[in-house]
Amino acid sequence: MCKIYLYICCSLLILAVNLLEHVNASEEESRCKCVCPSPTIVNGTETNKTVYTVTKIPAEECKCGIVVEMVPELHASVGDKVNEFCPRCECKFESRNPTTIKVVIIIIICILSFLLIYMLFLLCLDPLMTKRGIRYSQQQNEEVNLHDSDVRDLDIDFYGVDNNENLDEPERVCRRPRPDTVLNRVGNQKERWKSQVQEQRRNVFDRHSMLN
Amino acid sequence: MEEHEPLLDVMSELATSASAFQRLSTTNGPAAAAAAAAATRQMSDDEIIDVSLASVGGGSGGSGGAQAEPPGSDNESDFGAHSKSYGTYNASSEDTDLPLGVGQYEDFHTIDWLRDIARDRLRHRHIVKKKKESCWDSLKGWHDAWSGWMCVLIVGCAAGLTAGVIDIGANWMFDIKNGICPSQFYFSREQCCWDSNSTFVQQDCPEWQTWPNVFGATDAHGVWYYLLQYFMYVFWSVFVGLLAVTLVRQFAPYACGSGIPEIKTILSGFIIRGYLGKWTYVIKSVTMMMAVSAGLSLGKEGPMVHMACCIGNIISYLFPKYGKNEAKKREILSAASAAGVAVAFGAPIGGVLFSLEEVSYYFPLKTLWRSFFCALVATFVLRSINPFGTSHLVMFYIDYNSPWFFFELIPFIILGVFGGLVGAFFIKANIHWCKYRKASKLGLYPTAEVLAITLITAVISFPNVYTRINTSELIAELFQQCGPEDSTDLCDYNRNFTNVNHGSESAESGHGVTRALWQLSLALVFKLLITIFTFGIKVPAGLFIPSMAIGAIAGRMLGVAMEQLAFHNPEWFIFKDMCNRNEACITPGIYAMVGAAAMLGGVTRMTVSLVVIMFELTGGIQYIVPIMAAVMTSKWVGDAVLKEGIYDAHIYLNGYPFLDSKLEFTHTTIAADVMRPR
Repeated sequence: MCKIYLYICCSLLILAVNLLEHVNASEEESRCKCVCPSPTIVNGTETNKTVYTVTKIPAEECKCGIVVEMVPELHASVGDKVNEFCPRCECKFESRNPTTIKVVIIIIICILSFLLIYMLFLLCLDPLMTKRGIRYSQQQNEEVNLHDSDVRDLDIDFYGVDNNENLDEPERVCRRPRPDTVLNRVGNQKERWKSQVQEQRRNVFDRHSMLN
Repeated sequence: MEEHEPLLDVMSELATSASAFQRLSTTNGPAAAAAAAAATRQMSDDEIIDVSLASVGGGSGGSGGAQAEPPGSDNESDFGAHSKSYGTYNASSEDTDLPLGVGQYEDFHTIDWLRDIARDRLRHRHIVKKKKESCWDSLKGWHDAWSGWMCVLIVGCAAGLTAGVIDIGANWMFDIKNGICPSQFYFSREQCCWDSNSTFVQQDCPEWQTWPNVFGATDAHGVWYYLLQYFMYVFWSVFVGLLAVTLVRQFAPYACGSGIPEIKTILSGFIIRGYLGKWTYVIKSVTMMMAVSAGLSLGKEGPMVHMACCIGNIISYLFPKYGKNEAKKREILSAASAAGVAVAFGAPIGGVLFSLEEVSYYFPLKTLWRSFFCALVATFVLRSINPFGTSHLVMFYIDYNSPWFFFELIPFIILGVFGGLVGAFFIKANIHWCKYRKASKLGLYPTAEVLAITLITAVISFPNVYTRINTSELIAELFQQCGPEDSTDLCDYNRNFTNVNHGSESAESGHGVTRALWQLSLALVFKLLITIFTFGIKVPAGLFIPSMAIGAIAGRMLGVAMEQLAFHNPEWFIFKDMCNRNEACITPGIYAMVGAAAMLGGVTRMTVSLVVIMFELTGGIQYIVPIMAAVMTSKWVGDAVLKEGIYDAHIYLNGYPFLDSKLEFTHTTIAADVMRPR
């Protein structure tokens, strides 16, 4: 199951690379950006720098002489003194793909908002939902509860008043026998993941045994 | 009998000389590694027997068969002997602890290299034997043979793609602190001003709206404007920093830090469950961008190695040959870490060498080629995304070709000494601080710590223009030569603009340069101090970029000093030959490059890979010798002051079971003495 999922991911990945190549070829924007002194430099000593940009020209034409020809006001003020003006210019050819940038940024924003919403869900809604479930399992054996409350004490000690209740619940919930439906399986997986994360958190933040 | 020889060889070598250990880890990798495993794990007796039993089977493979199966292995008796030894081995191990599944090892255990290699050889033999039986089986055999290359191909693609996304995203997120592009919100500042013509260099183009503009402040020199900008800068930094640390804490605590010490430990055969998982990958990629955007003094290059290794781990589950065999998986991880450096620095060869020199533990030729291929694919994919628009993979590319002179080796070596000393100081201070954090109450408030560091960094770095800008941009600017078109403070020389052909002549420094040097020296001190406190907080934090920035600042300052010395004293005998008045003879940009390499060398203690990374990074192939000289000096000086690099220091600090192959053994007794006391 997991493997098929991964295979799909991989083919998507290769597709994405292909698509990128394709998009890159079709929608590329290019520019030739020249940083030059102001045209009056030919006559005097003024050194204000100006940027001149010419879009949609091939890379090999990105040279000061050609840019002077193509920018009307520059052509007017520099005139035939191109040979004096141009050594002080620096021209760079750059290209980009606005679609790629757009898609990438939107994907990033989507992932971020998903993570934020999920985090809020885990912090606020989830404890409420699991608490309702726990009411039925009050009469669990005492050892476990003791252990759990121990852990909770520890966590509160370390974190102050952080939201840790939700992190201790999974173990208790998992013990309740439940019918094997898809929803439950997903839920179980979530609980397992949550306990893993909690273990990681203990290693990193409480015991300081890793990544310090 | 033949097959027992290598083992005896190994044993006697191990016994007689101490340095044999080191040799072993390069030649007979698995054997040495297993010995290492035995040493670190303090195995119980029967486990040791297990290992030696496995060496009987696997030892012969270590010498010949690990790289390539001997084609004429149809020697029946030999084959039978092999399979018999495997058979007994398997029988003995299967009933102890080999449920032949994914969860073969428990969390925080050391893997048994020999057992895994032996298992793989058994599997391989099985496939080779079945290959002749049917068409399907032979197809399976082919799949098995190429699955390693296929795996690294996919890893390379994914690493390149992720790096491209991170590069674009980090640029955008950093510029959000300054303002926004209202027409196309997804553009960074540079992209927003793409086709705007005739704008002054220092000002923004009309399309780009800074936050004060958005809020209605128009006078770009007013106090109100400045304060508003300051506030937005600090506010956004703290906000993003808080977001990053919360995400890390909530979803994947293992995503914090640089990751290279842990990757080193994992590659040396340690199991850390979840360290290379899906969540770590996603959270690390996202929070990496945010940490850079928060303006913290850290880089995203180190975490990219971790990110690539996560990809390697996830993809390796597609191929049971690698996913179910921890020893084999480490081959893929080595290749993945090479791809990580390759995309972080645009340095494919440097990545391979980095994997070889710094992170990998067991690195046979086969893995070298796979790493090479993986780095190639990753770089290619990143290049086709073209995140910076310049058709270079990083922003540090230099476009000058100025010569350097023999005499200049002296300042380069001085930079090397500087790098070594400051690097050692940095390591010592950082380790002290981390120890303090671990022991004191400070460690109980990771979120508050991140917030405090972010706040301090943002508040102090905004007033100084060299700390306000993105650290990568700062390094790029320091590496550059001052052309006639540059008008930054750093390039404010009193040049005579009437003579067109003398655009790049040496000239007296103007007030701008003096001011820039002041600001740079403040930036140097600030960066050095804040990085000590930053490395180790609970967000993804790489060390390459900040240490390069520190070195580049120092180098540039020394370079400007040398330049002015040469300009004012052209009659000195050292300058007489190399400089004539009409052309620049000392390029401060080269000093910045050398300084960056030296500092990085002092902190990480890398040599070959660092030099290759530096020249691939900058494209300055003619500056290899200066960089080599500086890096070597910095390593000597650094090693004299403090033995270990920052990654090793962090490994020891955390107490990971890592047996360093660089260690030298001081014992003179041989094994025979121990066995039969004379």
